Amino acid sequence: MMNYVDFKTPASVAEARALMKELGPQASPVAGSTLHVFLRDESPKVAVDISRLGLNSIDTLPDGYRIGATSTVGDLQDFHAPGWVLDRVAREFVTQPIRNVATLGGSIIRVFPWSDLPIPLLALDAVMEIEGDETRRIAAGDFFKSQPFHHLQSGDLLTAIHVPALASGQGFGYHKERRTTTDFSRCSVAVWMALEDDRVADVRIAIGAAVPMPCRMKAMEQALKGKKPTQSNFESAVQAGLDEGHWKGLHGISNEYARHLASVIVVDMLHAATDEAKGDAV
Amino acid sequence: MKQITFTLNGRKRQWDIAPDETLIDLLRRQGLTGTKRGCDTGMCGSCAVIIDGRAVNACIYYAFQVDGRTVETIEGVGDFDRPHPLQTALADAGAVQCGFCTPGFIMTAKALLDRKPNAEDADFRQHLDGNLCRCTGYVKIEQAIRSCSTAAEGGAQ
Ligand SMILES: Cc1cc2nc3c(=O)[nH]c(=O)nc-3n(C[C@H](O)[C@H](O)[C@H](O)COP(=O)(O)OP(=O)(O)OC[C@H]3O[C@@H](n4cnc5c(N)ncnc54)[C@H](O)[C@@H]3O)c2cc1C
Ligand code: FES
Ligand code: FES
Repeated sequence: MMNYVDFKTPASVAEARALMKELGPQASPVAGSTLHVFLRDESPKVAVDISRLGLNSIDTLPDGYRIGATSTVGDLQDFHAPGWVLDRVAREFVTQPIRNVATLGGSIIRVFPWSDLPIPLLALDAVMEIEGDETRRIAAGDFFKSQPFHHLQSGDLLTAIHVPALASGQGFGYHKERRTTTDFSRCSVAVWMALEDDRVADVRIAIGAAVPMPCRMKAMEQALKGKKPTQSNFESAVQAGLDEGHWKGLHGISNEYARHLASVIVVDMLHAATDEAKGDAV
Repeated sequence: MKQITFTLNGRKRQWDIAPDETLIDLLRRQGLTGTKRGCDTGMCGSCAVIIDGRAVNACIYYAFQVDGRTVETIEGVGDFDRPHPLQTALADAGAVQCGFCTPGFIMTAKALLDRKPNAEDADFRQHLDGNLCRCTGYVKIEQAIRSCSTAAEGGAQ
């Protein structure tokens, strides 16, 4: 846990940012606080509760959704709209009392090998909105290249996450391999795919837990483009791209098994995305 | 110490809190020991309370986070003379052995039923996925809680 010596409860983004700037490195933004069991920081900090800044709505845009950074995972689970896929991811996130408070923003600022939310955001090519002296947008690929908190300067807040809606001819697949609800993932895979004339026009594959940092599998994606969505094409593309991953088994599983698990799950999720793209999803 | 104001079981409270204390520490320090500390790491649900209508694990929630919010604990749900239907159902079903997990199950189920009185099996499965019981084997707990839904055969108790 953290060594909090004081706490502040700002009511607006401007107020929160001013406070955080004034406090400098002492400031510790708290959204849901559910990550704090895993954090060990002895230095005195001032908690800045950022859960009441009006950053918790999900707005519909012409081509997708803008999710306020303090929307909870439970909000993602309860939201239903055309082309919205994050409810499928949210359902697999820990347990209901944690989904009720853990926020999307808080789930992607400090990334662990087992973090769930970066994986679908990578596959969806989401864009993060950061409010600072300069407001900026960072695409998922850059955002998750290293620890995302490095993108934030003193007083900066992650304010929103933009995700596209699935259009017709597109599909999404997500699987988190875990044994119990509070168990960390052993391997998570998210696949976004666009089909045209029964060929893979575009595809994004993201993996987590079986690798040190969630990442895209670009060699697999490249090998799939233009191919028909068949079991044998999926298998050979996945086998061809497996060496790209730095496989690292968590919780006592070997690196070889992590690699094997990923290869099986990616093929399954390519099928799931294909079924949805063809309109066959159940 | 610093003061927070919030509503607890229907009554406005102004309590002094330490900045780094958790909600479970605050509640138990104030004598509300119905909220049970099982794992203290968010894994078992025995410390579940309802905050602004949602079940939350009080062991991984800071006390300062409830400032201005509405909190419900097991002490506000019912008592021996006027039990809540969930309490009656659990007792009648023999769904309580040591009872340590029971307050957490009640708070989590109540949060769901308050929001969705006609909750179905899938809702219960989803919403109770964070509550562990080390004694009963869950079947009776599940049956008792389900019987409180208006969708259950015979309706809510
Ligand atoms: C039992 C248990 C099991 C868990 N299992 C998993 C799991 O399987 N997968 C998983 O992904 N997570 C898991 N978690 C971890 C945790 O729930 C998540 O990381 C959670 O989503 C964090 O969100 P939060 O809102 O609670 O963030 P907080 O704990 O409030 O904050 C997390 C970090 O992000 C910073 N921050 C938060 N919001 C912003 C913002 N808008 N702008 C700038 N900085 C910000 C905070 O300063 C802090 O450093 C588990 C937690 C528990 C207790
Ligand atoms: S004591 Fe809080 S979840 Fe176990
Ligand atoms: S009755 Fe003992 S833990 Fe559930």
